[in-house]
Amino acid sequence: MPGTATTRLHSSSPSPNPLWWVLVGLGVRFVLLFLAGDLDPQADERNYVYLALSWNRFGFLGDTGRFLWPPAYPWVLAQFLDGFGLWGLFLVRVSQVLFSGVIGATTILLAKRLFSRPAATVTGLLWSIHLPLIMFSHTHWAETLYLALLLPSFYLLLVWLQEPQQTRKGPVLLVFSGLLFGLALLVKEVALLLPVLLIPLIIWRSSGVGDRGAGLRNVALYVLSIVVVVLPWSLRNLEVYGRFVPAGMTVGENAYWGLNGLYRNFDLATQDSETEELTRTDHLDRWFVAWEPGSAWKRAGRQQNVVDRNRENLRRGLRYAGEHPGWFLRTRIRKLADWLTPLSFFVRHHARETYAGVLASPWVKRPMLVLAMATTVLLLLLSIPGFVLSLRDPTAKWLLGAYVGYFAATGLLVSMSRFRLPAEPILLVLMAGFLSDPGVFRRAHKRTVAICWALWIGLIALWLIALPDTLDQLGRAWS
Amino acid sequence: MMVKLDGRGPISNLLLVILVGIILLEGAIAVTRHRSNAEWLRVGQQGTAKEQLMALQVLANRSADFKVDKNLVRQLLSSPEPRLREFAFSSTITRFQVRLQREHLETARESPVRLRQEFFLHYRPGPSRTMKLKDLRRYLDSLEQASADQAQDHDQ
Repeated sequence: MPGTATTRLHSSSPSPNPLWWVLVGLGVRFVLLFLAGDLDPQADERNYVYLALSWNRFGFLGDTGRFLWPPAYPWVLAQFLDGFGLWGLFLVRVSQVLFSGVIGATTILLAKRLFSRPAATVTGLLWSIHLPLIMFSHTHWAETLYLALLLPSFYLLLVWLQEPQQTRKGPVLLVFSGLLFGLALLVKEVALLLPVLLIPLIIWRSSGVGDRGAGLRNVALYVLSIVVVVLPWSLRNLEVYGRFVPAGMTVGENAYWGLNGLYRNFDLATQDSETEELTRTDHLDRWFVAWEPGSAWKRAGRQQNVVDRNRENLRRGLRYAGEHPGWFLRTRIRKLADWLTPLSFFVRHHARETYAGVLASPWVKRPMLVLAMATTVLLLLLSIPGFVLSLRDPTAKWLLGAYVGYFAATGLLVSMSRFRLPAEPILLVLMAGFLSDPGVFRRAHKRTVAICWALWIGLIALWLIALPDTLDQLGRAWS
Repeated sequence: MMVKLDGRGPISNLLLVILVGIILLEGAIAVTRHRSNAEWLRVGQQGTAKEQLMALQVLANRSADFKVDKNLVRQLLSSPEPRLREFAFSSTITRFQVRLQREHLETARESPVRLRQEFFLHYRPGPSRTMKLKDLRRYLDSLEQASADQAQDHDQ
C-alpha cells in the first residue's frame, strides 16, 4: 500500500515535480480557448445559458421543461452574465480553463499515489494533450466544473481508504470528501447513487481499526456531509414541485431516448433533430441500434410538472424494456459501444463545423483529429492492463472499479463520449500506470494476462459494432 | 462532555454533531419558509413583482394536488410589470405555454418586451438549436436599455 512518504511530490529526486504539467496543460488550454474564438452555445450549453438568463430576469431557477437540472452551474453562469453581460460568457470559459487545472492536479496526484512519480509525470503529459478533455474547458458545458469538484472528492476518499487508521486527519478527510461530492451533485446529479457502491468500502476499511461502531460513524460522516450540501436544494424542490428531488431529475427524459424504439447518440453529427431518422440502414450496427419508430412510446403529456413527467417517462421506458427483453439486451451492447467509442465531442465539433478560423484549417484540424482519436484509442486500450495488471492495491482497485463501472452503467441508458468524461481522468491514470511499468506483463500471472486479453477482445468487438458510424463521423470532421 | 481533539472518535463525534445540527437547521428554515397553495395564491395577488413571479412558478408546478387558478395566471401576465409578461415565454410554465403565448405576446413588433418574449420563446430549451450570440447580444442590450429607462423614470 502506498505510504505517506511516497505520496509527497517534493522528493529529493532531481526530476521536475509532475505538478508542473498543470501549467503546461493550462497553457495548451488557453491557446485553444483563444484559437476557438467565440462559439455559439449549442444543445445543453444553450440550455444552461437560457436557465441563467431566466434566473437573472425572473429571480429563480426554472427548468427546461424536460429536465430539472441542479442549480450550481446555471447559478455560476447567471453571475457572470449579470456582472459582465455577453463578455461574461467568455469569462466563464476562462474560469473553466482554470477549473480544469484542478482536474489536472488531482489526476497527477492520483497517479502519484496509486503508482509512482514517473506515472504521475506521464499522467501530466497525457492530461496536457488529451483534446477530448481539453475541449470542454473552452465550452459552456458543465463537465469541467463538475470534475473539478468530483475528482478531489474522489481523491480525498482514496487517501482515507488507504490510511483509515490515521487519527486526526481521517474524519476531516471524509467530511471534505463528502462536502465536495455534495457540491458536485449540485452541478450534475448523475453520481447520486455512486455512494451506494462506496459505503461498503468505507465499512470494510473501518473494520480494521479496532473500534466498534467505527464503520457506522465513518459512513455517517461521509453521507451526512453530502446531505448537508444537497438538502437545501432538495427542500426547495419539495416546495416548488411538491416532490422530493435530491439534486436533479433527468432520468425520465433519458429513458425516453434510451428505453424506447429510438436511437440517440449525440456524438453523431447526423442526429441533430428529433425527427431525423438514421441516415444509413445497411450497416451491421443497425441490429444493435434497433431504431423502430413505429413501436416508440410518446413522452408524458403536459399536464404534469417536470418531475412528474420524468417519473412517468421512466415508468413508460421500464415497461417498454420489460416488453422487449431481447431488444433491451442487444441495444445495451450498442450503448456500451457508444460509451467506449474512440469518438469525442472534439471530433463532433469539427464534424458540425463548429470551429472557424485557425482551428478549422485542414493543416491544424487534421493533426488534432488524429491526436484526439489516437489518445482516446490508447486511453481505452491501455487503461485495461493498467487496471488489471499494474494496479495492485485491492482498495484502490475496488474504488476505481466502482467509479468507472458506475459511470459506464449510467451510459447504458443513453450513451455518448461526453458521458464517459468523468471516467477519463481515471483512465489516464491507469494508462500512465501501465506505461510506467513496462515489465508488468512478464511478471503477471497467466490468469490476469488472460483477463486482460479478454477485455481487449471485448473492447475491439464493441468498436467494430460502431465502426460504420465512427468512420462516418470521422470522415465528416476530416473533410 | 469533554472533547479531546487528538483522538479519532471524539473528532468524529464532534463533526457528527455539527453536521446533524446544520441539517436540522436547514430543515427548520425550510419548514418556516413553507407556504401552502392558498398562501402562495395570496402572495401572487398581493406580493411584490418578484414574489408574484415566484408564486406563479410554484403554483404552475404544484399541479398534482392543486388546481392552479388560471385567472390569477392571466391576471399576472397582463400586469404592467414586464417581467411577468415575459415569464409566459419561459419554459417553467410549459402547461399553459401555447395559450399564454398567444394571449400575452406583445402586439408592437418593435417593443423591447416583445423582443425578450421572442428570445425566450425561440430559445426555449430543447435538444438541437444553437443560440446565436448576436441574438443574445440583442437580448442583453434590451435589458440594459430597460434598466437605463427605468433609472431615468425614477430620477424624473
